[in-house]
Amino acid sequence: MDHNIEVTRIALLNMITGFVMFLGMGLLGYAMRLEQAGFWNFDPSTFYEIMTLHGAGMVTAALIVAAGGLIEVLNGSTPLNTRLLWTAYVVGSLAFAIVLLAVLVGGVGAGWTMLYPLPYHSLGEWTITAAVAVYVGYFLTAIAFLLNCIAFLRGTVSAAGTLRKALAFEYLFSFGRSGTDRLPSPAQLVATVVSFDGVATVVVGCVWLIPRFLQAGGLIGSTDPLFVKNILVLYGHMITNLAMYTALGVLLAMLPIITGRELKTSLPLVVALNLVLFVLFLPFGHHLYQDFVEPKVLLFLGEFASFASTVPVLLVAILGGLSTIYRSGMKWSVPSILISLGLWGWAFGGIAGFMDAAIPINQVTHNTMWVPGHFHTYYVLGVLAFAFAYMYYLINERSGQHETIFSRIAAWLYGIGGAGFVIMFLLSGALSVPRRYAEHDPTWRLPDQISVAFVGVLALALLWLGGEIFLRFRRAWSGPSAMPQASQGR
Amino acid sequence: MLSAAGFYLTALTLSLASIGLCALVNGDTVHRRGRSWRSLGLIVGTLALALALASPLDELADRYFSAHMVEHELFMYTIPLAWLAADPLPLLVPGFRRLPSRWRRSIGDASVRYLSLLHYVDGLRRPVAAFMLSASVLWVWHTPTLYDLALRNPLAHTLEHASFLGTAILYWQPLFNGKHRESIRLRSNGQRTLYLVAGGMQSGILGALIALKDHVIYTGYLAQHSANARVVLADQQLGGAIMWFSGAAFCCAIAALIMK
Repeated sequence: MDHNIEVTRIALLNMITGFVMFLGMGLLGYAMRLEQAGFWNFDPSTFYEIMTLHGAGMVTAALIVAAGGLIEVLNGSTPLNTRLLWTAYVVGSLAFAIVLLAVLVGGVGAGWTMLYPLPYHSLGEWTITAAVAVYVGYFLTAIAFLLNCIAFLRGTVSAAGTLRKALAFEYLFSFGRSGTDRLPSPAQLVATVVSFDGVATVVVGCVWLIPRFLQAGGLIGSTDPLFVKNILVLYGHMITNLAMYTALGVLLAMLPIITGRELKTSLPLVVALNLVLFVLFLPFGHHLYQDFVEPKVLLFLGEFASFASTVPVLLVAILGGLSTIYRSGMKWSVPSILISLGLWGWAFGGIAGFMDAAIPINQVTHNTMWVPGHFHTYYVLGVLAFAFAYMYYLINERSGQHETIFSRIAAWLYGIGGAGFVIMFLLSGALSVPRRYAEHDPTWRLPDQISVAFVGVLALALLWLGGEIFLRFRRAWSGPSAMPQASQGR
Repeated sequence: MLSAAGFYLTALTLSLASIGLCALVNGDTVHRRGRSWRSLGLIVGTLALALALASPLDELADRYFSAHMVEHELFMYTIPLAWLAADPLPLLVPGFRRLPSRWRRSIGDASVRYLSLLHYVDGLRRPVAAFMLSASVLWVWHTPTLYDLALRNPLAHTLEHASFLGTAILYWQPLFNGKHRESIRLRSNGQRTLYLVAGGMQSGILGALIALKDHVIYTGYLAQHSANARVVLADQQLGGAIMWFSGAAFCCAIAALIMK
C-alpha cells in the first residue's frame, strides 16, 4: 500500500489542533492552580467554569492528538477512508466550539461529569439552553470519535481480511502456534481494539446523553440518579482510557524509531490487547466506592478489574517498552526523552492508580487531590508525552529540520515541570486536601504554590517545543508525499 | 388564506418543482446517474422556498423569533444547498428546446447579458470574500435595530431574506466543484475543512450569543406577546439555539457529503 499524503495531512491537522487545545486548556489549568495557591483571586463560579472547560477540553485534546498520531502510524499499511477522517475533524472542531461557547458565554460550571441535580438545576447560575449546549458538544465529540473509530476499524479489517484476523484470534487461541503469517502490526492491533471499544463507548455515551436531551425537552421526567451516575461514570472512564490506549499505538510505533529495533506482534501483546477489549468496561466501579447504596458486587468488581487493567499497560507499555529500549543504544533526542518520560509517567501514575483502586485506601483518598494527581500523571506524562514525541518526530522528518540542544533541554524541562506538578497533586492528596475546591485554606497552599513553579517550568518547555512545531508546521504540511518505510514505525 | 403574492409564489415554486420532477422522469441531457439527485435537489429547494414564504411558517415568523430562525435556516442552508446540488440549468434544457425559436433567442440574449454582469461580482465569488460577505450579512441583519426594522417593514424583510439567500449561495458555491472556475473553487480537503469550520463557527457564535442572553434583545416581539418578556425570552433562546446547532449540523452533514 502506498503512503497517502492526504492521510498525513489529516494526522498533522489533528495533532496540531490537539496541541493547541492542550496549550489553551493548560493555561486554564494554570489559572486554577494560581487561584488555589492564593496568587490570583477570582470568584468560585469562574473557577468552576474553568474547571469544566479544562476537564472536557483536555480529554478531547488528548483524544485528538493521540488519534492524529495513530492515523499517521497506520498510513501506508492500512487503507483509511479520508472522507470519514475529514468529517470527524469538522464535527470535532464544531463540537469543541459549542462546548467553549456554552462555558465561556453561558457560564456552565457543572464540572465535566454533571451529576444530578446538575446541570439542569443550577440555581440560576446558567440556563438550560447552555447546559443542553454542553451536552450537544459532548454528543458531537462522541460522533467525531465514532467516525474515527469506523475509519480505523474498516481499515484494519480490510487490511487483515476479517475482524477475527484483525484481532489475531487464530494466533491467540492457538497460543502462538498458528496464524503467525497473517498477524497485524502492533499499531493495527491497537487500532482495532480501540475502535471496537470506541464504538461500544459511543453507544454507552448515547445511553447517557439521549435521555438528557429528552429530559431537557420535557419529553421524559426524572431518571434514576444512581443509574445516570453509573452510566456517566462508565462512559467517562471508557473515553478517557481510550485516549490512553490510542496513545499506546503511537508508543508502539515510536519504540522502533528511537531504538532501531523491530517490534513484532508477540503473544503477550496479543493477549494484553485482547484483554483490553473486555477490561475497559469493568474498572469504572472504582469511581463508586463512596456510594454506599451501590450493589457491593459492583464495587468489588471495580476493584478487581482495576487491578486487572494494569496488566495490559504493565505488559505491553512498560515492560515491552523498557525491554525494547534496554541495551538498544538509544540516543537522547526529543522523541526518546518524551517517550522515556511517558513510560515513567505511566509506571508512576499506574502505582498511584493501583493504590487508589484499593477500597481501604480509596476511602481516604477518593475526594482528595490524589485523584487529579493520578490522572494528570497518565495524561501529561503519558498520553500527551507519547503523542507529542510522535508529532515532533513527524514534523521534523517532513520539514527536514533538526532538533538542537535547547530542544532537548526543553524536553527534559517538560519532564521536570510535569513530574513536580503531579507530585504536588499527590502530596496534597496524601495531606487530605480535598479536590474540586475553588478556595484552598492557607494551610493547604504550600504544595499548590510549589506546583505553580513547576507548571511555569512546564509552560517554558512547551513554549520552546511548541514554537519549533509551529515554525516547522507549514513545511511539514507541504513536505514529501511519502515517508521512508523505516520511519513509519512498523 | 394565501395573499396574492403568496399565491403567485406558490405557483412559481410548484412550477419549478414540476420542472425538476419532469427532468427526473424524462431528462435526456444530464448524466443518468446524477440526474435523480439533481432533480431531487431542485424539488427540495423549491419546496423549501415555498415553506419559507408561502406557508404558515411565514406568519409564525412574524410572531415568534424561533420560527423566524427556522425560516432563516431554510434560506441559508436548505434552499441554496439544494439548488447548488441541483445545478438546475441543464435540467431545464429539454424544456428550453421545446420553446418557440423567438423565445429561445430572447432568453439566450438575456443569459449573455446576465453572464457579462457576473464579471463585475466575480471577486465576491472567491471563498474568502464569499465567507466574509455571508458572515457580515448574517451579523448585520441580527443587530437588534436592523432586525426590528425588518420585522416592521416588509421591504426590509424581503431584502433581509434575499440577502441571506444570495450570500448563502455565494458561500456554498466554492464547496461544489462542478464546472466552476478554478479561482472560486476550494481545491483540497484541508481548505474545505477550514471553510466549513469557519462558516459553522461564525453562525454558531452568533446563535450562542442570542441563545445565552438573559434578557430580550429583539424587543419587536414584545408587542406580539402583550409585553410578556418571559415568553419572548424563552422564544429568543430557542431561536438562538436553532441557529447555533443547526448551522453546525449542516456543516457536519456537508462535510460528510463533499469530502474526498
